[in-house]
Amino acid sequence: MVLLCALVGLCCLPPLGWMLWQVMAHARLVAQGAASTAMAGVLGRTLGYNLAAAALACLLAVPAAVVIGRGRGWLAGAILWISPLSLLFPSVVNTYGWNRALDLLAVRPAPGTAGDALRCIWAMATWLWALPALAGGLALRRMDSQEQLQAMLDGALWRITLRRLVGPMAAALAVVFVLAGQEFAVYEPTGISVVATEMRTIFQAGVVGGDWTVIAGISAQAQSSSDQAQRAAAAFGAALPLLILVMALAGGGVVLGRRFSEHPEIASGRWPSVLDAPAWTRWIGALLVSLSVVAPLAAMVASLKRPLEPARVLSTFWPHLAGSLSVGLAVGLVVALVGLVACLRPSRLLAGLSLAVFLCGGLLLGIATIRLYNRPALAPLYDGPSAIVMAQVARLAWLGLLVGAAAWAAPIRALREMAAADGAGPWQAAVHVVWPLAWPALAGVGVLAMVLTVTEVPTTVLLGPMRPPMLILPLMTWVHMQRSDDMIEGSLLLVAAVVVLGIALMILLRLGGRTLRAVRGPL
Amino acid sequence: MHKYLWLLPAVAGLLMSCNRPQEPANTVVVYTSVDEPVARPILAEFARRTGIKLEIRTDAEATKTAGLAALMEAERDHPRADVYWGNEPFYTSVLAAKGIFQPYVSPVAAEIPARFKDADGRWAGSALRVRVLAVTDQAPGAAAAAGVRRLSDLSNPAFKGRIAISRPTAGTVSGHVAALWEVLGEERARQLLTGWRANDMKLLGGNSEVSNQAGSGQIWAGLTDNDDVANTKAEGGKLSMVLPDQDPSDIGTLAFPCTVALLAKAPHASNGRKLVDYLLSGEVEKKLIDARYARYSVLAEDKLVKTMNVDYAKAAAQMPRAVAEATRILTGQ
Repeated sequence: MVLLCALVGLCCLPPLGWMLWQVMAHARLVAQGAASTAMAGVLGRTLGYNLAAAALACLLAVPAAVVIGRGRGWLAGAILWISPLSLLFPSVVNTYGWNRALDLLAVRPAPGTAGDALRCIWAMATWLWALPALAGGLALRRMDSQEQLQAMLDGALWRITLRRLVGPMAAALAVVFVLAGQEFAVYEPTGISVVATEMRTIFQAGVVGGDWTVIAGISAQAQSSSDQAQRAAAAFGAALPLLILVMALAGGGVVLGRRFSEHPEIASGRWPSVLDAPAWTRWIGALLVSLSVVAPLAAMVASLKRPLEPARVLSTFWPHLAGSLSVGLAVGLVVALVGLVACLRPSRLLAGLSLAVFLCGGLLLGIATIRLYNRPALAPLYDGPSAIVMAQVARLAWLGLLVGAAAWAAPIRALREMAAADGAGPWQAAVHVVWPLAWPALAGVGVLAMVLTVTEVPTTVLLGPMRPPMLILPLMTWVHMQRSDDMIEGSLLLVAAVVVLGIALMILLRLGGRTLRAVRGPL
Repeated sequence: MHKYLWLLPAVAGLLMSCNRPQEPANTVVVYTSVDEPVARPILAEFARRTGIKLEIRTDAEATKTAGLAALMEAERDHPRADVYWGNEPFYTSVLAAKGIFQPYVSPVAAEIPARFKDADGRWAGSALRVRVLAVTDQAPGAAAAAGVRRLSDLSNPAFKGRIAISRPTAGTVSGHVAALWEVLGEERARQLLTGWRANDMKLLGGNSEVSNQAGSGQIWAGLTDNDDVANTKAEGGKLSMVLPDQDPSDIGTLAFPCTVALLAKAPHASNGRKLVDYLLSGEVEKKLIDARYARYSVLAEDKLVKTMNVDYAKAAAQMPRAVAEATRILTGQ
């Protein structure tokens, strides 16, 4: 437990503490940012766009959710396993792919227009739609097939199905909304001003970017002092209203999630074929998977002006890819270690802390980390990759803690109890019973944390080290510059690496599922 | 459980060991706002010749130069960088005035005209870039925009909603706004920008985006840098580059050198001086011009283009106010 507290607490508490300190130490600056009428306009736009993206993502997800919940055959399997891939792409790559696709179709919305906003909303919805699809699909899988059969006889199957989908979809909508709110790479090039773009501009440039937000106080103070502390406080102030909303939404999401998980677990097994997802849902689901995963990639390949030579691409971008992978590996190992230790003793408090850091978003976390470690005494932490590793561990430790907590639930709990009855202590039970069963999940969460680190944009933009170099940083440069071949090749290489890691994750998940089923059988 | 407490320092050690305990002596760290694809091969050549290991930090378009300047200022007590290679002189002048750089008069800088280097030797510049008008060659904008020759032409109602500039909060546009304040005077500069605002000028996320939008015909004319137009053309964009305000009675366009400076308390000052000498050399200037990043040599600009007569340091001193005011005007606040 000490180790767990040290690992997670060391990474999570300082940034959260810094944010609280801002409220106390720079109360006036933060309040000005939070209460500014101009910033309210930016906030309104952010909420509108993110809500639209979340709603569109949920709408797109319904057919796929039905297929994931009640689909059979290779097509349903493909939808289940391929749809989450778009989630693993960096937002900047996904957006660039869609820009290329629209360009090929000669659809070029003028910057700052409604068409431009729609482009951003579409890019975000097709990036995140797999979340509601998976949430809805898994909810349907837990639905009693007898109840569905009865509903079918009553002619109410769709009504019952949609009712069952409402809870998880609403929770997923909240999650998509939160994730979309942390994005700036989608909006930045064409100058659309949202909270995330303003935060970045305030912190990095010392002035407010788009609509002259301000917040006269913030701009005056941030510019006149040109002090990083002032700019950080101003950026925090600009983010505060959205942050409060996100926390409230997260609370709602937790409540919804709990209600959702309160449904008795139904071992539905193989459902009767009359309940199979209709063919149209399978084909629409497949079309959406193709759109969200294949279309941006295909558009990028089609836009290449020079031949795609994998060996050249790999040798050109290898230092950056290796850097990204090594930072990701470090984060993945620590998150897996967190999960490993959490198998000994779970901690809701630590999971809550890490989740809070995650909800704050990568930008705010990056700003907090810079402010915490940018001092001579902490130069060893600030100057290299440790800062970003610690920040990403803070963001993602809850994943490990979640896996650790799952090792305290059925069916492993029953095995623990049997081991305890045989005289095994918690340590022996973990070493001899839990870890041998949970290792695929622990390895899987490590791989997931690795992927999320490699592809994360906001924290990497602020904390990306000079050595090892990370691939996201040049991508963020090239996306703005007219270097489309470099951007496309770098993006495709990153996607290839993510797909390889995604396959490893898929194998580990299947292995974990098989292990659990094997345990559940005799029990 | 307590016997495993040794893991705690081990984990801390693991995190710390991600970093080097000490910088290798034969290293030089450079922060640069010169576009990464242009800067990297030039810097790699320096590393190859000298055997000095290079670490490079570049920046992204949306907070171009401003982000790096803020970073250097924030790290002033324990700088990581030895050398700053900037893509304009305004932020460099601001940093010099704040004591971020140390004086170093490179022997290579002797030939550089005085207006392109700091009087106290804290920075010097080479390889001139220019602010240009990116004018679309795509119909229907091409015909309408064919007559654009001056910055004031962007206020022509025929282009309403079809003109763009990068946000003034970062990059070369900050310096351009400051230069307009310096050269035109506050009142005329305000009038110019108010005219643009009345013509519904778009504020984009970077100069390259301005050029990109002109190349695709979404905007008809925009204010950007020469290299952005060159890059867009290389990518197949259909646009022309117009040097604004070139008539005898005009103020000329803004020309600005790439700047090189040695940081105060640079951890590897000796290697840093070698890099400064290299970056100010005629060879590097030629490479920047060949790469179409820069347009003119600092030694020959006055023969080739009419440029604004601007004192970079004076313009830089009023840049925060000019940028704030310009942003306020252009966003209609």
